[in-house]
Amino acid sequence: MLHIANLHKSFFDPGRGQVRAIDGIELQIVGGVLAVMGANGAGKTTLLRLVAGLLEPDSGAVTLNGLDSVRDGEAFRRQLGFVATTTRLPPLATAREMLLFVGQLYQWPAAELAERMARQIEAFALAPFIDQRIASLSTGQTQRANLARTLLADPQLLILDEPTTGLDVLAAAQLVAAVQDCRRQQRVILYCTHVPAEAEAVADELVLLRAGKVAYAGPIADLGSGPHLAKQVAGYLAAALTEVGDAPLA
Amino acid sequence: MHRWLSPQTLAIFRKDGRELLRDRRAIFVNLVLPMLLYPVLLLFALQVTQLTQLQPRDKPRVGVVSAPTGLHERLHQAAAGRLPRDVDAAVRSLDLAKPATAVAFEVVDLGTDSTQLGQWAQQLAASVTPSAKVAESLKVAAVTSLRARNLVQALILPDPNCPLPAPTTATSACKLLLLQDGANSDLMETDGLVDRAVQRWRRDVIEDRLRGHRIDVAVLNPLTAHTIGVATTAEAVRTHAAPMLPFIVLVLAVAAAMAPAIDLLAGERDRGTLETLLAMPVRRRDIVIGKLLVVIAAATVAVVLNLLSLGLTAALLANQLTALGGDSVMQGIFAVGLPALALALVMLLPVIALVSAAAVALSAYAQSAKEAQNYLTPLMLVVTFAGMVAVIPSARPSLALDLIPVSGTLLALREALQSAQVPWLHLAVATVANAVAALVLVGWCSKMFDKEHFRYPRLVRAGWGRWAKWRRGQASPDGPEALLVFAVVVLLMTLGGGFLLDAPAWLQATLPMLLFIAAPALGHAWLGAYSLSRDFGLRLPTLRWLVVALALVPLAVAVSLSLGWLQQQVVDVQSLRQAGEAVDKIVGALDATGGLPLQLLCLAVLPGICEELLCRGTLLTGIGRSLGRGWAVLLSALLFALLHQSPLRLVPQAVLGVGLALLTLRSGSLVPPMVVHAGHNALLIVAQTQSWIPDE
Repeated sequence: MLHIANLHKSFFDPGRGQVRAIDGIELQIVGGVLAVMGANGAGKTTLLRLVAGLLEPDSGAVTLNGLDSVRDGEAFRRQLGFVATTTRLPPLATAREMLLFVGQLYQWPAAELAERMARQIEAFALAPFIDQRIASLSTGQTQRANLARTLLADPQLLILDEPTTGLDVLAAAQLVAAVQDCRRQQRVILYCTHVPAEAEAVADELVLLRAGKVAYAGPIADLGSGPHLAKQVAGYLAAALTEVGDAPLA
Repeated sequence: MHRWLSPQTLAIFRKDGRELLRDRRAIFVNLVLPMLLYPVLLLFALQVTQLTQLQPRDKPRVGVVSAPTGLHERLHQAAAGRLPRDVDAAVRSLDLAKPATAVAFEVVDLGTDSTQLGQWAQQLAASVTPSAKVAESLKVAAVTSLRARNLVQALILPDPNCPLPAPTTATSACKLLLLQDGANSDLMETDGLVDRAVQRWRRDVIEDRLRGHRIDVAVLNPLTAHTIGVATTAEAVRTHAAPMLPFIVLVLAVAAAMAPAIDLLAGERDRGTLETLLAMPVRRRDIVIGKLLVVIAAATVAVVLNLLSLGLTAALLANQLTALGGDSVMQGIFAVGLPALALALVMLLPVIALVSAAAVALSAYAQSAKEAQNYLTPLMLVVTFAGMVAVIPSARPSLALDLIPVSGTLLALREALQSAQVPWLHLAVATVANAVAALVLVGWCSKMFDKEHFRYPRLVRAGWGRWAKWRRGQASPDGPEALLVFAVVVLLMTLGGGFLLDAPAWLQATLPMLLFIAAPALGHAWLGAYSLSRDFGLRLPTLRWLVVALALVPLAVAVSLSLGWLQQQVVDVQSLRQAGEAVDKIVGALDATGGLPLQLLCLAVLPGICEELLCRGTLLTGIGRSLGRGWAVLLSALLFALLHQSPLRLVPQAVLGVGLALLTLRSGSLVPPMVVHAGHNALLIVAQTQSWIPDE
């Protein structure tokens, strides 16, 4: 269970001084996929980085099954899978080496590691290019390798920040299908996207962020589906655009 | 329990090491290329030397005016290198200069056409010239004459009536003058040799005279001294070569550590792979240590390979030199010996570790690979300087020096390489000092990894060198910053004042205001990315406050004058007056140049703006943030008074400062105090020029 308790985070921006990126967010997710949407600068990436423990909240806390994101850093990260547009794989390593590297970090016995690797290689169809260097892979292949790397440890909390960015339609669809596949009991998936249809396809719940605050939180079905959902979301985002300027995030 | 070398650390070491090895271009540029370069450069240098030796070159020319044949003979001998260094005896010593067969310079007989040159030389030697100017013009004439004849030196016997060698009975001494062109680079080659020839010939004349008087020449030699060097040539060369060796290793190590340190930290940040690593279940310390181990390994491998390449090059050089007769030199370089080399390498490992740790820490601190490059270049300079201690001839290891990282080890190693004795105690202490320094750096680096402003520097840093880097989330300046600015102002005024002493009065009045007072305040605001209007109150006040400010001007003058009068009653005026004289001089000069308008601009308007910017802007805001408003008002007023460096006006200025600070806080703007300040000064100037108030 992921608990985000009264989270605040502000940054210093040279142009605008203090900026409140996250302003009192309160969320509790027992399991399932939570889509996070919002305009650019609404605080999505900041929220995900806070949840991943990469940023530290000014106040409030993020706990996953009782583990605090900052205080229990290493133990928390053992339960965490984090894939963002900014998280890349080393270009000179191969996908297999990345999986082995994760195995060395988690220190599984050889047999268990082999079994886990086999599962991910099959799930993401890595076999044809597993021994090629990351630099020589396509964006879609790299993203699949990245997801396989993340899911190797079977994390309780999976954070995906715009995972389909840069992917072609087919690769994006495959990825969405893969995310649907890795839905399990008790596992929490935070899925950040700009595409309402993608959110509808993967998510059970939806959070809309506006200027660091929760503008909407609830079942995604409540906002309708298809074009209606897109319209509803666009309505929220349009309102948000008039309220916030550019994000301080680099 | 936490271990320094956890499996995770080793996993990172393997992963990063593998990536480093796979970066073929980096390996080539950082390892292969330097190794290839030494032999290639050496061959190039040898070729150049051989070519220059083959090239015909004009010999430096030494002119002789009416010199006796004996001296001629000696000069030719000296030019051919056939005169021993010592006049008395030929002391054999290690002389690696050019072979004795080559003639060093050409002797040119100037004949009688240079009587003018002789006269100039005589005048210059006798110092009969009336002034330094005349002497200079004489020198110019003489050197022009020398250069026209393409001469480095000219030996002149000015007195034709003083023939040498004089008869054995002569009692007076003849004068020999030596004119030389000190700007000619060939002088280095001829100077010592010509001197040697003259000395030798003088000696010959003396001996001739003694023989004429039937006195044994041995009378002149009650004592002969012989220096006998007993160290073998090889050993002597080793002593000279030894200090360079650890130094070369050090420079190689820094150079080799830079590339991987930048790539594995700042580079990974640029590529986005660091964030991936940071989201994984690894302790941050493990990441630091894993990467550090890779950098140390890379630097060590690079040092070893480079040393091998250097050794190979030296062997190549030895071959070449044997042909040229420089055999013993190479033996000397090799006399350092393999055990000593091995010891040097082992003992330098802590130094390599320290340098690597510093490179890793700085690279981690940088926002990008480009910034890391900027940080590491000064590191290279610092380490090189620390290492240069080992090259200072008189430096000896001491326990105090041992404690200085890098320097201590290098000095102790030099001692070990130069003599047969190894200073184990110094080596041990220095090693511990290096290890401790490296651990401190690793600790700092690990701590940095644990901070979010390391993980996302752009979120919390404003730009290059800005305060916001260290003071994240800070939107306005604080006390220490403000006091630092004030210190800079005082420093500038103290150092800069001297430069302006000869400047025109209006510059003396305006430049300090703009450069020493306003510039630091504005520079501080820029560095901190502070807003002048938001943080320093540089914004228009309401009309009401402007009116209040104007109304306060006469009050300020009244208070200032009466307090000044009171202070005069209490403190001895005479001693204080002198301090005000400099200011009075400027006031007078300003009056002479531009009259009242210039006085008002330089002494009222500019100080009003600049001093308020500093005192009510930077100081009041900064101190207020740290100590509260009360202290801010008092301290800023006190500093304002001290800023004027005028004891005569200390009390009035301080009281005025308090008033201006209160006005700033109440009005929320810097403009009202600026108006009061400028108005106060203006009114005082007008009053003084119109003699409304008695002159102090």
